[in-house]
Amino acid sequence: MAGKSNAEGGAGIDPMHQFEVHPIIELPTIAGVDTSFTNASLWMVLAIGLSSLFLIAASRRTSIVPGRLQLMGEMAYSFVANMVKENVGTEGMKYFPFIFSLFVFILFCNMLGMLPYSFTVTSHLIVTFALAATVFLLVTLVGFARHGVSFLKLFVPSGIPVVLLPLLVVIEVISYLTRPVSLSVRLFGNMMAGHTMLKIFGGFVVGLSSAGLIPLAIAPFALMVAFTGLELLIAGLQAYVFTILTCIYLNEAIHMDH
Amino acid sequence: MPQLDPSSFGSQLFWLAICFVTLYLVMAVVVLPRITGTLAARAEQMEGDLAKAEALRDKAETALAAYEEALAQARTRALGLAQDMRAEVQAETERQKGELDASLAKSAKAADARLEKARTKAMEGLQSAAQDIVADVMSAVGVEKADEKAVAKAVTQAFSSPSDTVKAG
Repeated sequence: MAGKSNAEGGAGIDPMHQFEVHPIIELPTIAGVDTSFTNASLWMVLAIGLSSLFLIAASRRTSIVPGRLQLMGEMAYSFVANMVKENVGTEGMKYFPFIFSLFVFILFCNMLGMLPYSFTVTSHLIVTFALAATVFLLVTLVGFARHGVSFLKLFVPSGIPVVLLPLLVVIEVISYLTRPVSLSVRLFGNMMAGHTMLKIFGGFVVGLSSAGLIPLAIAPFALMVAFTGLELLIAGLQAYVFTILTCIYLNEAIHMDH
Repeated sequence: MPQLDPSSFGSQLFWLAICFVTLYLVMAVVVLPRITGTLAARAEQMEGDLAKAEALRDKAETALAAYEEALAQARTRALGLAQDMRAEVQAETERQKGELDASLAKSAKAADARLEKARTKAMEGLQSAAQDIVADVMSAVGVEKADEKAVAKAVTQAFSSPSDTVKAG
C-alpha cells in the first residue's frame, strides 16, 4: 500500500513493489495448482476473518432494540438487501447471500488495503477477474435455467429494422461477453491506480525530506493526505459499484428486460 | 507489473476460492439467517404492536360512544322523572287545596248558621226585654192596666220597621 514504507527511501522506490506476491509458507503444488500461502492469501484470510468476526459478533444479539454493533450489522444487511430488492426484485433474494458475500469481501479487501504495509487483494486483476467471471457464470446460468434457449433473445433488441439486426446482435453479444472484463478491470484499475499514485507521492515526500528539502515535501504530503481520503471513498464506492452491477446483470437474466 | 506475472495466479485463485467459499458459507449459514430472523421478528413485533394499539383505540372509541349514549339516556330519563315529579306534586297540591277549600267552606257555613241563630235569639231576647220595659214604663207613667197584646203588637211592629216606630214615637 501507500508508500510511507520503504526505509531505503529516495527516488529508488518502485511503486509497483507493493503489488508483489511472495510466498510466506511454501506449500506443494496439488493437481497443477500452486497452493503456497502468500501475502495475498494472508490478506484474503484476514479480510474474511475480520468480516466474519464482525458480522458474527454483530448478529449474536438478536434483540428487538439493537445495540450499536447489532445495528451496524443490520445496516450492512439492509444496504445490500435493499440494493437487491430495488434492482432485481424479490426473486433476487435467492442470490442475496452470494451478493452480500461479494460486497463484504470486496469492501474488506479494499479497506484493509488502505492500511500501511498491507496488501490490496483487489489490486490484482486475476482476483477481480475471478470474481467477475463467477458473477458472469452465475448470471448466464440463471438466465438459461429460467428462460431456456429463449434467454438468447436477450441479444436481439426489439423494435429494430431487420437490416440492422445482424449488426446489433453482434454488438449485443460482444457487450455481454466483455462484461466480466469491464467489471474486473474497473475494480482492479481503481485499486491499482490509487495505490500507485499514493506510493509515488509518498516517494516524493521521502525523497525530498531525505535530501534536506523538507519545505518542498509539504505539498506532496498534503496531496497524499487528501488522496488517502479519496482512496477511502473509492474503496467503498468500488465495492458498491461491483455489487450493484452484479444486481443489474442478475435482473436482466431474471426479467430479460433491456 | 506483478499483476501480469502468471506464476502467482494459481496460488491466488486457490486461496481466493477457499476464502470466498468460506465467507459465503459463514454468511449464508450463520450471519444472514440470524439477521433475517431479527429483522422479521422486529417487523412482526411492530406490526403486532400497531395492531394492538389500533384495537385498543377502537375499544376506547366504542367505550366513549357507549358512555355518551348512556349519558344521553340518563339525561332523558332525569328529565322525564323531573316532569313526572312536578306533575305529581302539582296534583297533590291541587287536591289538598280542594280539600282545604271544602272544609273551610263547611266551617264558614256552620259559623254563618250559628251566627244567624244567635242573632235570632238575641232579637227575640231584645223584643221580650222591650216589651217588659214598655210595660214598666207604662205602669210608671200611670196606665194601670196595659193591654199586653197591644204592647206586644206595637213592639213587634217597631222591630220590624224601626223608622216607622221613630216617626210614631
